[in-house]
Amino acid sequence: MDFQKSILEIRQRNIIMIGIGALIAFFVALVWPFTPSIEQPIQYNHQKHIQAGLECSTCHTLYENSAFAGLPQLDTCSTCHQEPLTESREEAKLLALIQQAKPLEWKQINRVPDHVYFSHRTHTVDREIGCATCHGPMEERTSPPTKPFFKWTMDACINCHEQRSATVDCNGCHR
Amino acid sequence: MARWGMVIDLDKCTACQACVVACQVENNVPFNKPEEAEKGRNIFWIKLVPFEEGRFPEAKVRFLPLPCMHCDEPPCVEVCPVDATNITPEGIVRQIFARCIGCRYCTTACPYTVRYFNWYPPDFPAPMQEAHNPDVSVRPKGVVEKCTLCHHRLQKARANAIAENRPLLPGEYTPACVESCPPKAMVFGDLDDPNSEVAQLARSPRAFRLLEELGTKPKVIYLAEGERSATTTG
Repeated sequence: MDFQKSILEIRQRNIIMIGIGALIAFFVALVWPFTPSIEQPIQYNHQKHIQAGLECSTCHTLYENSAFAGLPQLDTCSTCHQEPLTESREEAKLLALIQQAKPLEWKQINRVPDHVYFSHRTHTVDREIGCATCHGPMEERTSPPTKPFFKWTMDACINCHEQRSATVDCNGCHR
Repeated sequence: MARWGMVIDLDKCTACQACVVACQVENNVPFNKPEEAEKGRNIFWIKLVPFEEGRFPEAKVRFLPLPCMHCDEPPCVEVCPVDATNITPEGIVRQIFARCIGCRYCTTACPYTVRYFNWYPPDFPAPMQEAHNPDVSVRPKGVVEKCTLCHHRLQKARANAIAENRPLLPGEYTPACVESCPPKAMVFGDLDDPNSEVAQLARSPRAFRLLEELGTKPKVIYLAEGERSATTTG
């Protein structure tokens, strides 16, 4: 009888343990998608800057005349942010970086594979495709994006190229 | 539309191999271990092939720079099962590395043996990794690679032309080997433009193509050395 009792006890304990485990897993699954996977040095607010009258090209200085868009460096920020303009904690971080002369290490989110040639100038200036086509509504963002808006797959590229009767020659993009 | 081709004047070629080095650097062509090189597994998008002629004391060595011929009727394209290699409207026989499955039919089909298989993952010494050409992808293990006529340079030249709203100018797109040739033995340009230097040289009586009898119609044209040319030997 004692033996049967002990088995029952073990079962009860197991069921409780499994229940607790499932509860923890449930809450982790709830929170997981909202934890930022990519940590940027500053929680840059695109919305505020665009509302203040800045253009994309003010900070992404290269996209109008080269293949790359360019992520801004401290020199670009410090043209406006020499003195604290607001009471923002993120601006304080930026000013600290400027004072310590440390580089701004942005993590690149949108990245085409190495074997693809993509020119920002050709797309935006020569073919007049808006930034939002691939980057989404950046002017509404209050924090840096954590994942690309556009899915960088060949299907997605070809889709757009066919719609706009752009080149679908392999060598147009592959290298 | 242009039809890109190359003329190599064997009379001017000094066999210095500047083209070979320029090509290796331009296209991130990986090195190999000496023991693997002995198995013939080295990769050269352009190589210098020696031909020994005669016996001592009249022995002679002739040299032939050998890039991909960019045939108008390429045998490699015929056999590719996945369309990873095909010919562009401008006559470049291209290789889409990301598409290649590594079956090596093309390396077997090519009569000029200018296609190379990556038997190993690319292995560059530490300082060389920082010196990669960012315009060219580094090919992974298991794909075939070959001369692309530096088509990444065409991509850039064309992007510039589009930005300035004009057609591509002659001389704007030149492969690295042609650019580096010290005695200017290599000439590159549009074979369909009758006034281009390359088209004029291609009409020269000294002009010949490698293994012409196979019907591959190569777009790399050699100019024979003086004493062997049609003008002197009749």
